[in-house]
Amino acid sequence: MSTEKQRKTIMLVLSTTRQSPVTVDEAIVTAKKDEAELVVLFVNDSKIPSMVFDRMADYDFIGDKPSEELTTAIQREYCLRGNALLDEIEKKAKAEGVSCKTIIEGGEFVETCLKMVERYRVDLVIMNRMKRSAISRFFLGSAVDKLTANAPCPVKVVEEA
Amino acid sequence: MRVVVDTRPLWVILLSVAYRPAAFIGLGAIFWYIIHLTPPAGLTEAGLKTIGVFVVCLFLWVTGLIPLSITSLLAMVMIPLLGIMESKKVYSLFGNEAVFFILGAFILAAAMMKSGLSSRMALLVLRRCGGTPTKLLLGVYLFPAFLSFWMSEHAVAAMMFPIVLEIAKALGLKPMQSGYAKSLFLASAWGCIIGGVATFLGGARNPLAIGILKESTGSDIDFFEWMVAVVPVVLILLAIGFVVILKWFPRDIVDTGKAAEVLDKKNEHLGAFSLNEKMIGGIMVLAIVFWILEGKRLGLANIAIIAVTLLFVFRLIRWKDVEEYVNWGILLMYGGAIALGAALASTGAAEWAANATIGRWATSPMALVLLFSALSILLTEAMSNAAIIAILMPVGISLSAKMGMDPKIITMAIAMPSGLAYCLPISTPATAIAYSSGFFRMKDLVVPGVIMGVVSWVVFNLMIRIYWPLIGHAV
Repeated sequence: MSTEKQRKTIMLVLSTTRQSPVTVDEAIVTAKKDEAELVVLFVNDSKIPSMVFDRMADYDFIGDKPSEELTTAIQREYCLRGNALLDEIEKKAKAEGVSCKTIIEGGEFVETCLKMVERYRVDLVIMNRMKRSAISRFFLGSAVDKLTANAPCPVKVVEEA
Repeated sequence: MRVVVDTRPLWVILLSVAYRPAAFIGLGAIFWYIIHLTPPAGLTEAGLKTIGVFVVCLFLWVTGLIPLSITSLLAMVMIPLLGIMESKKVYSLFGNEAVFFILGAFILAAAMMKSGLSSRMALLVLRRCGGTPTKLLLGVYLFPAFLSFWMSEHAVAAMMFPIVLEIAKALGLKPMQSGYAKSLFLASAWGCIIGGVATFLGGARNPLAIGILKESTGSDIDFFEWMVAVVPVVLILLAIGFVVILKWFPRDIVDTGKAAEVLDKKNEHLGAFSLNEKMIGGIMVLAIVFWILEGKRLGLANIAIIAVTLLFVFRLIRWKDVEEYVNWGILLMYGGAIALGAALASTGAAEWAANATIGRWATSPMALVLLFSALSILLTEAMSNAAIIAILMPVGISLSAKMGMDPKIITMAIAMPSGLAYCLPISTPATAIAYSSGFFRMKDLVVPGVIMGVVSWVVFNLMIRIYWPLIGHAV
């Protein structure tokens, strides 16, 4: 059996905080132009609720069980939204004649992206760069920069307006 | 195993890795320096050492480098080790009435949550509030406010979240876009925040403040006395808060019928109102009645613990549920904070610190109240309100004694505003929970939050000036 890839694969990366419609359109247009398969990855970033609730657990918050239940409820909600967004994108892509596959994964954003890039042998990653202050980007780093530095393929960045 | 390269400049990476050990070493050095100073005029050697301990705790509470409760335990250990107070005395302060009252209140709240009683009450009330978007919003706002009078506001916020989320989804409200959705989540959060200051039960900060007051001065504020002073303020703030929410967020829906359907479905899912729930509700009501009417005579902690015992006598809750639903760390925090407050008072360190710092600006009792309430309401946006109580109370009580003021006034002036954090998700769990819904952005929170913070401070101080003299708390 041939292990050669027949077609280019483009990965559109979205997450709980990255859902730019402009980036979605750009990915579909690029995939159509290159006759590539579009893989849409939604990362359910686990850092967000745990960052909030780990800190809250230190205050006079409630005990472990309700905190866990709340985190689970929030993660579930993010997952549902992710699925709804992926369905919408899949329909849009198919309407343009683009072959589309959707994936939803939980975990740390950059690690998850790199894992999926490897698994699907992606040729191009498309993602948006969120608007943030220069100070925040300088001290906390940039997921886009990290992914660009570590991905085995080019990363196309769509700047948020 | 994949290695992900961090692309930040090297010095930034080193800073992010080294800041913790550097902070601890620096803190240790500062502590060492302080306790080896020559005590300034008006401060004893024991007082100086207590200031050293206070500085260490202040830094750790503000930065959260170690859990708040561990910082408090550290204070309890440092006080006897430095010869400030005997171990026996320090550890006996841990068994403060306030700590056991908080424990009892937490367990009662745990029973309400575990049994589903609090959720059932929410669903029943909200079902009756349907009809129009404004009525539903009012229900989502006032019910958590009322419930936060009687149980932890954070527990109420956690309980309300899935209900408000279901309502928002049933109404087809879009995250980040719908003004009505934003108003629903914010109303739920603000209801909890404002309602939570009304009694001793909404947040453990109020009993902590009373505990420090009692240990430092022997003075006490009972359950009913607190309510009489604070509930009218709360009612005014609730009214203003609702107007702010209504004006700030547009109502972009007309029909809330689908919300009623989802509430009915959730209510059906809960099943029939069980005997368990009725008994827990009954014990809770009895406890509240006794706290209000007999709290002074019987003791708040005694009533709380008897109520908790009844839960186990009637097998309404298991110990495992208590373990899972109660935040035990906060009890450690409160015990340590009370011990530190007592050490600051008994060594005269609080008085010295008060005179050396805030005392210069507090030229009159009303100025003192304005200053401390402002500090409390500002600091609570970035810090645990328990830490604020632990930091401001010793200094506030000392200054109020210097001015011949009733220490109860400064206690309420610090404790009540410390619960009114509106602006940031890190300020309070209620806001964090609402923000994590993904229905609104930070700016949707910050601007109305600042408005509400300023209004709260103004209303609070006006009530102190106009209303409190009528109830025997003239400034």
